[in-house]
Amino acid sequence: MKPDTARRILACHVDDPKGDAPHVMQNALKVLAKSPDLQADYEKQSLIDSRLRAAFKDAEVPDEALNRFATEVAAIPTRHFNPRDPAIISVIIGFVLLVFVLTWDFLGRPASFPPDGLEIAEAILNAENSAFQQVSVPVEELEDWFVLKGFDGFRTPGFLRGGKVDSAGVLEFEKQPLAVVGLPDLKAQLAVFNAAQWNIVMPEGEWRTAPIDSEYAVALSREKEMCFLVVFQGKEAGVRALVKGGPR
Amino acid sequence: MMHLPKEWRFLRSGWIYAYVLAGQESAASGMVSKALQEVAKRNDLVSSRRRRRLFFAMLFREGQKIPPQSLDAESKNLPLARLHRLQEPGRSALALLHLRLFDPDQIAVIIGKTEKELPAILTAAREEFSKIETAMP
Repeated sequence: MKPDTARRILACHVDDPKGDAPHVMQNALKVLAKSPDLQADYEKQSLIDSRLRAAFKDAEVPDEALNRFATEVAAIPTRHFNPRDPAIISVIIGFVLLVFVLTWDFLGRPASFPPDGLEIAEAILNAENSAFQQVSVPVEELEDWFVLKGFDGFRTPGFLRGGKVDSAGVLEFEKQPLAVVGLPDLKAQLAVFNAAQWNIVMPEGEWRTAPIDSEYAVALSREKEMCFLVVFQGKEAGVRALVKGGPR
Repeated sequence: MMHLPKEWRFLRSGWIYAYVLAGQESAASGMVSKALQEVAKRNDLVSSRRRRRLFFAMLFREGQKIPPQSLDAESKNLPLARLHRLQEPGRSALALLHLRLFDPDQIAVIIGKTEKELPAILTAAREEFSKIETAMP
């Protein structure tokens, strides 16, 4: 520590006979021991401080003044909840906003279309034609066909029963099999796959829809461990009507 | 005699400081009461340390408006009254340092100076006090 620094620290210090000197003060006192000039100045300061200390110690506050202050302190009203207090208003607004945001997030998240479903739909749209074979059986009879191809658990959603199928195939996307059939009358493709392999969390039996681009829309549903995904050539409203069994 | 609640015990030190500023006992009591009323009105002072610092800053502000008073020779606090003769901000810096309620950085805030300026202010105030003591034994 430099002598100038020690001088500044010592100037802001008052000796306390009852207390220990803080660490920084102890360092300043070490510097003081090596500097006669500083020592002389500090002795002078200590003499003045000792007289001041005595003056403050002997100071007498009139009893009437202390009584007056005690009465005034006792008259200070206890703080009560005041809804007009700006601090309280700010807290209330903040709390309401927090509840609104959390509710928005809580209600909005489950209703959103699972991102994995969109990725699967895009994979189906980008699949090569060679991945499909021509078939001419009703859609509900395709289960055996898919078993022979190595895909178990193919099922058909109720609204597609009796529909005409023109092609079928087992695609592989991210090493997971997807059973896909073409539905020419509906301008759609149906994909069936195991939900466990994907991050698709939604209530069973509920259909969710989303647009893919300007030409295609997609609908997704879950039934036990299997998912149904319908890629529809048209707008989102069209695929929504389709899964609800509306006009085809 | 009524007792002050713990969080308001600094009012005693506040009166001593006000006396140093005002040089008269009655004026000191008036200054403390006024500052007390102002601090009590504030709803934003949650911590007692902040309230205490604001209280002393208010006293300092009020003290600037009071011209030097002639000393009451019969006052029991005559040694303290000598401090009243000092120039500001040294007077307040020295009084607050000896009241031991605040660290030097807080004292600098109360008197509106920087912590770097405080050592020189205190040194000058001590020298001035020493001269006044010599002139008014």
